[in-house]
Amino acid sequence: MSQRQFTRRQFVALSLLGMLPAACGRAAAPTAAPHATPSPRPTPATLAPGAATPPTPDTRSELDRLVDFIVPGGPPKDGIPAIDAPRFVSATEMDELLEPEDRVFVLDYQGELRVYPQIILVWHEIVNDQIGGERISVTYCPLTGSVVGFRGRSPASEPLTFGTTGMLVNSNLLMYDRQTDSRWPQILGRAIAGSMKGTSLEEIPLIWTSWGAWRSLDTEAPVLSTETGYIRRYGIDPYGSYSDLEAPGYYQSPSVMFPVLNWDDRFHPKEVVIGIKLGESRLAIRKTTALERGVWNLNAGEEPIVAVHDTRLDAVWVFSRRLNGRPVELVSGDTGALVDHDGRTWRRVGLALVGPAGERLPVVPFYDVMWFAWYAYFPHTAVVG
Amino acid sequence: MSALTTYVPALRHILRDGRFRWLGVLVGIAYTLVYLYSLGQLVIDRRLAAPEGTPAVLVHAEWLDRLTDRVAGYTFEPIAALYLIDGVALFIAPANLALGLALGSLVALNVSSAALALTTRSCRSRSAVGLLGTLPGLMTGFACCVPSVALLLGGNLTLTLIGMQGFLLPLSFVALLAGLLWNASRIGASGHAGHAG
Repeated sequence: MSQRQFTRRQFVALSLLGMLPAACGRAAAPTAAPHATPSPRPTPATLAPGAATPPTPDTRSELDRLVDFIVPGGPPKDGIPAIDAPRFVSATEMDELLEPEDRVFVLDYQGELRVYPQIILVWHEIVNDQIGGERISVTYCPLTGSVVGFRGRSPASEPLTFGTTGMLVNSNLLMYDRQTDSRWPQILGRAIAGSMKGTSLEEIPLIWTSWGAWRSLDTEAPVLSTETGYIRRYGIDPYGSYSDLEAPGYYQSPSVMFPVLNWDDRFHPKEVVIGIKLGESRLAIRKTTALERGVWNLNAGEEPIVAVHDTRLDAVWVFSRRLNGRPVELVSGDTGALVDHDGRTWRRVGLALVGPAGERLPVVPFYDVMWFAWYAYFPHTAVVG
Repeated sequence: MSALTTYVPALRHILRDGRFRWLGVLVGIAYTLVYLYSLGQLVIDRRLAAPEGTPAVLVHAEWLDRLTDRVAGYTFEPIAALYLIDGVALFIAPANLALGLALGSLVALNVSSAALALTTRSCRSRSAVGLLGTLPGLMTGFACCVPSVALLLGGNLTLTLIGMQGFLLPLSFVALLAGLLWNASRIGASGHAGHAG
């Protein structure tokens, strides 16, 4: 646990607060310490890729522990409004708003590409979108730097859509679904309260890239527009800047704003890791290492996986490398293409690597996330890099 | 009755005194602007996305339904935006505009009365105490979407401040009113108001 010392600015701020009446402590603050020691309990969630997973009784107490750790983030329910009727414009139109270094999130799903600018999502956190007739919610938590696409259905088989509760767990977005009002922490991807408690959502990966890198692909894939139905300071990120690493702001600061259950000082708290949830296994891959290695054959528990640096977008994809029950070793060939031990070339098509005979190695659920947040949920995670 | 006979002439005197009235008005306007800026409703940033060509006005299609929607605490949903020049805009949430003007008016009166009291030897001490009431009002702009304040305060204090959100604005009004009445009573008791009025 790291102890933070009071800075002069904090002292001044605290002094100002001291002028206010003492009867102001009505926050639903948790009883736990801000940075508690790692939990001896098992990791709370298991997530099966694919369809929503039904609740399992053995995780109930762990979910209840997270419920006890819900804290107010400031806004009321839907005070940060989800975008329910997203409009898309061409990339050319968006060039007026976006600078080359701005971050965008790319969804490549069912043969469709969509781009969600970070400086729009930072004001909404959730886009309830529809792709190929399927409801998909793209969610972004600025406090934990995590973008995850979700798909799920209610017990009555309605597609789930989500809103913000204004509450946080482990400094991470706590969503609710509009169909059952259950509570879903984004990083967990599993309901911790409500009638769907214990149920997991299907996760759909999105990748982070820069607008400049995306535009170099010369694609006119639709980009989320600022016509969201709300008036916001689009173009401005109130948390700081991802492109200017010298500028002061949340993304560079070693501090977190809200309490977390577990804390680990191994890396900078805001360092980006690729978080992978496969069965009972949790794995964090340091993104900088994955980018350096290019193609990295790994195992998440018993499952062989491969992290691949997408050099055009400067992003990392993670795929299963189990083919017909046996692991495949992939390397970067002379031309930069992915090749296996038989010299066969593989290329990414949507959310899979496709071999010369049409064999498929699907993505595993993964997302970029700040180290502190991943560890806060999964203190028993394996780490590589 | 005695309160009225003390405060009313004093307030009248404060409003009539040309020297300090303008000082109060200027500070009151500045306070209102800072208040709106702290809420993110007065925006000054070169990266602000704006409709093509400024000045421009944007009014939400369902503005009537959104009048009372809250973003956080006493911060309400903007229903219109006035893009003045590139990078400068005023987002209009009527409730916040009204609150800002009310607070600004009280600040103006406090400043005028404090300045006036300073000219009166018997009132000089603690005449500016009412201005402390301006601080909580400025802090109402805090929410998790105004994270710079939260970063400044750190994790534990962030939660404390969020818990205080509901108190800050009423506290500001009470403190400003108390300060104004304090100054008015001092001015009234000194007989200064009577001489001037």
